[in-house]
Amino acid sequence: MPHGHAGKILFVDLTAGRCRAAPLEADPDFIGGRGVNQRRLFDLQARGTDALAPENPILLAAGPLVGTPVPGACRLAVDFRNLVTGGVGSANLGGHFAAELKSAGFDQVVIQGRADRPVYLLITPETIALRDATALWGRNTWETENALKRLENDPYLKTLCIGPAGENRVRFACLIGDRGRAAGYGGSGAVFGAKNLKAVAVRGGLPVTVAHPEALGAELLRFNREVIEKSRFVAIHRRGGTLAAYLLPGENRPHAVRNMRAEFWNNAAIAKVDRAAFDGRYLVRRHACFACPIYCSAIYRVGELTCEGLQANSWRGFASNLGMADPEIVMRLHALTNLYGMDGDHTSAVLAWAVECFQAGLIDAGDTQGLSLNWGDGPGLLRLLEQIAHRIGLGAVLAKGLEAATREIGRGSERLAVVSHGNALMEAAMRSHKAWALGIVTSTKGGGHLRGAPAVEGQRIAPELSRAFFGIPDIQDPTAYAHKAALVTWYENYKGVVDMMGLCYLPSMWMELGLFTPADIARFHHLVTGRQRSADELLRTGARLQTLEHLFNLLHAGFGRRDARPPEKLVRIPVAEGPFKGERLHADHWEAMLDDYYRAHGYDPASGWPTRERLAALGLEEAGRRLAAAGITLPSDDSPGEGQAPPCP
Amino acid sequence: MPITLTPERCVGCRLCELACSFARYGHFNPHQAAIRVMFADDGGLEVSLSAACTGCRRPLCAAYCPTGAIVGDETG
Repeated sequence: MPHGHAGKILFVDLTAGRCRAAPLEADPDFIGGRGVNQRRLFDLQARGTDALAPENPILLAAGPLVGTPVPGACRLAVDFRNLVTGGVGSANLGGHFAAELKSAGFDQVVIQGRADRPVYLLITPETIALRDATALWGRNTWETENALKRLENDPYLKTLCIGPAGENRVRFACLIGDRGRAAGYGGSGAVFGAKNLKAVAVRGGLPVTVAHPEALGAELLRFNREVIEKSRFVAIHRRGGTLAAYLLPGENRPHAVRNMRAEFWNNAAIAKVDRAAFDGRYLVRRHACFACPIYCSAIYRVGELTCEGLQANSWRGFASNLGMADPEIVMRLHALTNLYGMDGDHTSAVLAWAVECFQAGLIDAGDTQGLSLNWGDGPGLLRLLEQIAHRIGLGAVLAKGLEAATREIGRGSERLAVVSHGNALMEAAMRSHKAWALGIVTSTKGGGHLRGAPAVEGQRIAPELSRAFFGIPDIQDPTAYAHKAALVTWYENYKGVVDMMGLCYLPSMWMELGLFTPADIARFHHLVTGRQRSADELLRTGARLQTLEHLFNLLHAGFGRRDARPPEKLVRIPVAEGPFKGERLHADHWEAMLDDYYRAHGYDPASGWPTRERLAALGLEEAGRRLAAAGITLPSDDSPGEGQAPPCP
Repeated sequence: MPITLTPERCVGCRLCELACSFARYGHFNPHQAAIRVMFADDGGLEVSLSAACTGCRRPLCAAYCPTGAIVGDETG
């Protein structure tokens, strides 16, 4: 068994009802986690299949640091073909599932096929089985884990499951781990639903060995003492997660407000729904992911509902973006989204879009079956959320996803939607923070701030530090466009490394430059696995992964530069109030930023596609041959702009 | 008792389980730990010490605990 790994892959064929274990082969090019998932997804995913075709794979993986006490090494990578965009589906969740999976004996699980009735997959060191889940169908994600523990008479089971939204194939349904950790974007929950797979339940028992136990033990104590315990960000997140870090009244931070029409929410509204409002009324206890000394999460109870959360983006989604200043309604919307198993960003985006359409007269009571949709209207929004999860009335339209809903409703409603690569966005600060916006739009998973968008943009960072890490002079002015493409490119590569290892973004350079530098990660990777990889080599694996995902997006969705334009609403409507008043995305500056972005990656700026030379430099020639076989000609450094791709089937 | 538990301070990170198995066996396996954290149906958690806890002189579980839920007893 290689150090840091369980040493096996589990292949599950739901159609045949068969599970097969195979030995894990070391993959120095893609390391683990998201890396090995994306490589295998690239090989397995057929072109032109229906989005919910049984043969489409969904892959789960725990990176090499998972199962050790390296801080935050708990993440499960979930990769699949994105139901919303048609391109890369890639999500990631914390909690305890990934470590339990590795302790059960597997680094990766590859799931294909469709069961003929609802089933769950049980994985323990003693048993691998597909079992009847008919009695679990219809249960929410919290109930499902509790019920599985009773069914298996095993209080230490950890689960990854779907709620009613996944069963009903809501396009933005997601998997929920440990009753409250979401594998957000892309529709992973609907993939499980279409496969008749209600849950994966795991319980470990096998050890994770490390190459240098004594040195690792000493380094862990040093790193915790000198880095984690001294970090200002860690101290804040321990108090109240990202709610404490981003949402204090009086800070005048940008938020997503009323369907992203605005970015400034008044302090009187924020004060009604600040952290104290939630913690004072609903907090059960603070909660940590596996092996995480930061415990940024919490368990809440609101009336009959118990849930995990609430973090900054779910707050924005259900408070500012819906004009909602009632903490009980915010809490309930968040709880139900988790319990039904839906991506919070997309759920907020469709709800907010529906309200704005209703207010603008683009939809009326005839479309909503009598429901009146207003900003801050708790009962109406709760009812619409229920209708989405169960595909009832207007909810059945919204359950198809935001862009599909704009097509179905028509009437110019697309002008009110904030969409990139066909995916709904629900993000703060996109008009003011230019690297943040670029990273969100160029994200290979169809948008969102979890690829290259840097949370450090605008922090007081000395230019010499910025030069040392990123090779650019200054990142302190969020509104500047210059050099931001280089910053985004660096973070795309870096976050690829974080995802391949199974680390969390929070205690990372994404948040604070002193946390988990590439050299720190290289050192822990060596102590755990025994493999010597320099910081630069690791960043290069991040670039390889990023490029493979661009190739997947080109192959399956035809994406390129023309899909990376800024959402029109953010170009047209400037920030109306607050410290960033007047800021918006300028289309011409954006195009210049895109030129820089593609050059920084070594891609062809005209098409936005990787060049043949870049593929050769990253060792991705085999992937290039797959594209060639599909009739796609990649551009060359000598012939920029001469790439060709027939329409996707 | 060589260590003192204050369960209400526990946040469920299970670093103590990792530390215990590491101290005893030199590898990481929460299921071999003498201290266990279990998540209850209602969102609460339970921390328990088994008879296998022999009371390390400088308990690593206490050193890893980020909240002070486990404190080593120097006289243990």
